[in-house]
Amino acid sequence: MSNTGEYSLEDMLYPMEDLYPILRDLGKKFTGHDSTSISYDDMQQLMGAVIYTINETNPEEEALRPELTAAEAYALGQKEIKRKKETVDTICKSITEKGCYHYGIQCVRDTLNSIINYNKYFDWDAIRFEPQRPVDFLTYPVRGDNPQLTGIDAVYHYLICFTAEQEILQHHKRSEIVEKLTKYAEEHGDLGEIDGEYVKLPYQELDFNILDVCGL
Amino acid sequence: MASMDELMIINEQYQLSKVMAMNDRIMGARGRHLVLSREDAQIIIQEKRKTLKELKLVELGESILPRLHYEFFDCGYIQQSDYKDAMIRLQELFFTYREELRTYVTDDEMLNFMREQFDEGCKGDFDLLEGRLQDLAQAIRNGYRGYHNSEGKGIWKEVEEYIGI
Repeated sequence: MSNTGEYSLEDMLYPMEDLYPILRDLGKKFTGHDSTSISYDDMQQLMGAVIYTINETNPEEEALRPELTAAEAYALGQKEIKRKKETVDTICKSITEKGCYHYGIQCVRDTLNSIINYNKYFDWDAIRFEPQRPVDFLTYPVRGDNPQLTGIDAVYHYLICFTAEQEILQHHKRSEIVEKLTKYAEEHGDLGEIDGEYVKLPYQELDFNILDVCGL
Repeated sequence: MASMDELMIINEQYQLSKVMAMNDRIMGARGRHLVLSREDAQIIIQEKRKTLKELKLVELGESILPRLHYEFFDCGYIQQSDYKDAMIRLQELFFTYREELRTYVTDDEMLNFMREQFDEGCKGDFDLLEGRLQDLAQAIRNGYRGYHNSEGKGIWKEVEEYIGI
């Protein structure tokens, strides 16, 4: 199962007695064993992390869920988050080293830069304390995106869709794509102010899906 | 179905069990020892809840109380009849200054400093101890970090140098 929308303690399958030892251990790791106390906000964040992680049980294991203890479900959820994080790492590394087909579109570049920065900040140590961290920077509208997803799920799913889009684009000549994007921007693009004048914005300034515009 | 209130109740029950386990360990120790009854421990935990609420903190898992108890159980300046109230005051001081110095000191450094100063510098006076904690906080704000090397022990002279006494 993936994490969508709001999640709360009230929706939790397991009683608090079962969640408490997981939360306690996570709290110890969070403070590095240096302190018994944490802020109320940090505690809420850690509780959110436990719920999010338990909800991460992957589809093959979903059927087993009623039979799993909270600790087992949490361990499986952690495994799933780690798998997604590793996939995100691999895709980010590839984009950083090899680049991607962005055709100079600012919205694509900004989104990818934000993902790469998010991923740098969230190494495995950090992400287990807040896999649910809000993601509000996926502005390029990739085909197949699910805006209901939150946290690492949102980034993972987005990059899977983005990679699929890139595979389609690599089979098309850059000049053809640019021509279609330019034409689309001239015919359907928004107006914007450039040097004090309202003009049709070039395709690089717009936030439409490349495949949709090019009819691919 | 789980709730935050439920979490707090379970957390405090766990903490109470840890205090009583420490108490059993202390009762088996040789020499003078101050002990806590179950009722005392419950009252101290209730008081802690008020202190933490004011500081917007939560103690998750094992409380500081068993360690505070272990640190002070052989203190010659506290009578058994005053021990519960002493623990309430000590934990209040601990959390107040721990929070003020959150990013700088660890629990162990704070506990070591408090115990040593309570006996040696303050001769069992809580107000003097609070004054020393204020001085420690001031020294740390002035850049003092020497307490890391000794885990908060034997640092008073250095603290004085940093606050210019």
